[in-house]
Amino acid sequence: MQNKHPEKLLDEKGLRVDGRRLDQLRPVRLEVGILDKANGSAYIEQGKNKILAAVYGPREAHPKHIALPDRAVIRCRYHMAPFSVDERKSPAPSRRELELSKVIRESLEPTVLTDLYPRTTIDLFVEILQSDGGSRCAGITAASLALADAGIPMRELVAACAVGKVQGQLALDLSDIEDKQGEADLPVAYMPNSNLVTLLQMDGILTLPEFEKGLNMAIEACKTLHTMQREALKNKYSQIREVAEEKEEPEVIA
Amino acid sequence: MIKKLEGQFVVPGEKLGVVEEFMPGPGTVEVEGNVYSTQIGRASLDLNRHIVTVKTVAGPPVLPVEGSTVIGVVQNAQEKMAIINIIAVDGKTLEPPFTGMLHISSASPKFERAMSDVCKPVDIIRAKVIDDTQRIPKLTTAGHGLGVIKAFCSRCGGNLVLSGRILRCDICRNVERRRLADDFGTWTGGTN
Repeated sequence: MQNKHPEKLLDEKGLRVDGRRLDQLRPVRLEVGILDKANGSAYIEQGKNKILAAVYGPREAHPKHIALPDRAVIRCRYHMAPFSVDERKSPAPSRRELELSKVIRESLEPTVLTDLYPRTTIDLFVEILQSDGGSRCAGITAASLALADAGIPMRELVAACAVGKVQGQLALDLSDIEDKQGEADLPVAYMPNSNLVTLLQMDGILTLPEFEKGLNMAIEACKTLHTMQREALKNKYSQIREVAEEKEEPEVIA
Repeated sequence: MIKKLEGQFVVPGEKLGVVEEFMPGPGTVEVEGNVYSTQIGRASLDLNRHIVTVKTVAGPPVLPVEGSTVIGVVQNAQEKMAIINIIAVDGKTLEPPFTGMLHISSASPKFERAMSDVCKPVDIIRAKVIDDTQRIPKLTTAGHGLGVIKAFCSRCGGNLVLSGRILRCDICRNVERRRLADDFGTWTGGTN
């Protein structure tokens, strides 16, 4: 079992508490279309993070007055399950959850072609089943996949990853311990094909060269995650295509 | 390059070409002269018209747009208009339903005095969307195959059955009026 309060976040070999190198992502598992009732859904495991994302819509806006005449409204709810952290978390939306709902929504808004569905809403739910740091980034990665799975037209998939500072050194994809005991945190959401950053936050202190290096590390990680997202979609939809092709084969009458 | 693109699996954001080669079709978008996929699917090329499209496997989402045929449940019928809960669009189920509006002026090809002669709450109607630019899609039942496809007695809730030209409740024998579709009584709960 991992020590929750380690004295050092880096050992003599420069490895982190969980044995990773500074520029190494946690193991990522992505699955698409796992909820039957949602229009689109995705599941991500990034290290110990376990996150479900579901998309409903475009559907009629309720209450009616939130509808916009020229585009769809995206609503996002980031929520941590009461059992997602060591100490029970109140299920009521906290200030942090409201803020993260807003930043996730704003990081995905540039990619969705909302003008195709005026007067409707697209509801996005990000449910944290198990949290281990970097859940906003993992949530964005999963939510982007869920939007694509729902068939909502998008400019591009969005991937997100954080960089932080641990014992004076930049480290990729911070875990919960590193996030809490580290010196800085820099979450980045990125659209690789159009080379656009859709989310950039910073917590703590980084020098300008550190910031630049950290941003580049995060962007490289986002590119890796983007490849994984693509593979996850391919895995699901190539299976569907194979099943459809099998059904289409004509019956042979002896 | 062209042969390679045909039938290729694409995800949103994948570059399909430049506008000088192909114009963007459904499932694609043009950004600064480049054509990108906006959907998950297979790229398809129309070499005659020089259009690239993406045949989607995940969508696109169904919504009532102008010209689409919808199935709806009458939620509320006032004197001159009725509110309809649209439950299916062009054969595809909508969950949750979308709200539509049927005005008496577009409810029937002939003059109707009041909405109670066209439909009543809980009736199931087949209608066409004539305007989707307003806050609520406007519907019409003045057309071939459009109108009430299943009706219920406003007194006891029983099924209304057409016997000859009279619409009668099969339980309490109450006689009512409706703007009926050509195939009234044959609807069995599908989305068409």
